[in-house]
Amino acid sequence: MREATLNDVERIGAFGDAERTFLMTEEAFRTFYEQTARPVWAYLARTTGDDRLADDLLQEAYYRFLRTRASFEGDDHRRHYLFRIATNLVRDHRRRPRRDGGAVDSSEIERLPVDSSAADRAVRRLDLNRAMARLKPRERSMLLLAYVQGFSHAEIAGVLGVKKASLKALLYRARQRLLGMLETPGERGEGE
Amino acid sequence: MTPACPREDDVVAAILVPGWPNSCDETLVAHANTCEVCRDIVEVASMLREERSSVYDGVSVPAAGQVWWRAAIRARLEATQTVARPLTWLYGVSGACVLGLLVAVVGWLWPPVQQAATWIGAHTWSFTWGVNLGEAASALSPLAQTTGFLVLGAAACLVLAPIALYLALSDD
Repeated sequence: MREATLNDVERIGAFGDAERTFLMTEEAFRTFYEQTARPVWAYLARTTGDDRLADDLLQEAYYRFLRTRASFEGDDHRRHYLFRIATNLVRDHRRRPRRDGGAVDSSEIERLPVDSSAADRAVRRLDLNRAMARLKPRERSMLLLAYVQGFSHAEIAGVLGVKKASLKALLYRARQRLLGMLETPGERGEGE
Repeated sequence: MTPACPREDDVVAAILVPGWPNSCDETLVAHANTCEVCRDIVEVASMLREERSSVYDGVSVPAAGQVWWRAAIRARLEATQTVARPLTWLYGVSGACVLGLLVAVVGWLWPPVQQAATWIGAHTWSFTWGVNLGEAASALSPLAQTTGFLVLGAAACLVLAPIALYLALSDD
């Protein structure tokens, strides 16, 4: 069947077109990307529990960001918009069949360090990852945005599409659930 | 009622910058140690931020140029597909019309098909109205035949158009 493909000349032309297609110059994009790529990747990896998927979603998030026609008031606004895209991508992905987020990757256990303090830290990290995987997706996103990315309640409400007034209570509940699961690691979360 | 603390926001702001608890306001640190809500916040935030640091150590994201390049190629490809889509529809509809016309012309020129069409036409009328119109059909033979072929061509076009469109638009 007919398939739209690009030849090499068109590919080269794509670079020239890109700055007309996207509302951002390549230079501005590079600066923005250097500032945001790692936090966004970490957010995607933690919310999906899958590093490879995070790689794919990162590319998709920036593509959607570049294609947007929205105008931004500043870098913070841009960053929040990017996180909103990332959150929506994770949400879309969750609607598809997924692998068990609570399962422990055996290779992760094999990678545990032999040194006791490092091993303790690694075990704590493993427990945390498992507990995070058992949280509801929204709770997971909320905690990461609040305590890792440092978003304000209004910003989190904007990214996740929840009411600002209820955010404090939702955050409290998410913290309680996480701490509860870390105290009793065998508990099965509702998020699964 | 959810327990809340008026200093919650201050604690969150303090823990987000490096240096907690040593380089922070001592009263705030003392408060965080005694207040149940703030203690939970400090515990959760510390764990998540420590975990984030360990994730950052091993993470390697693609270069900005690579992401830009891929986005540019994809945008170009999508633009090409958007432009090509109406043409594809046009090809599909034209193909279906040509095929329908071809069926009509072949039917007109081919005697066995012509006879079969007359027979089908007569029996269809008979079946529909409960009246044997065979004789009437033979009396009106030239008109009935012409109409029959046109109907046959239109029917073929109607059947073939969706198939042609499906074939033209399917990606695989």
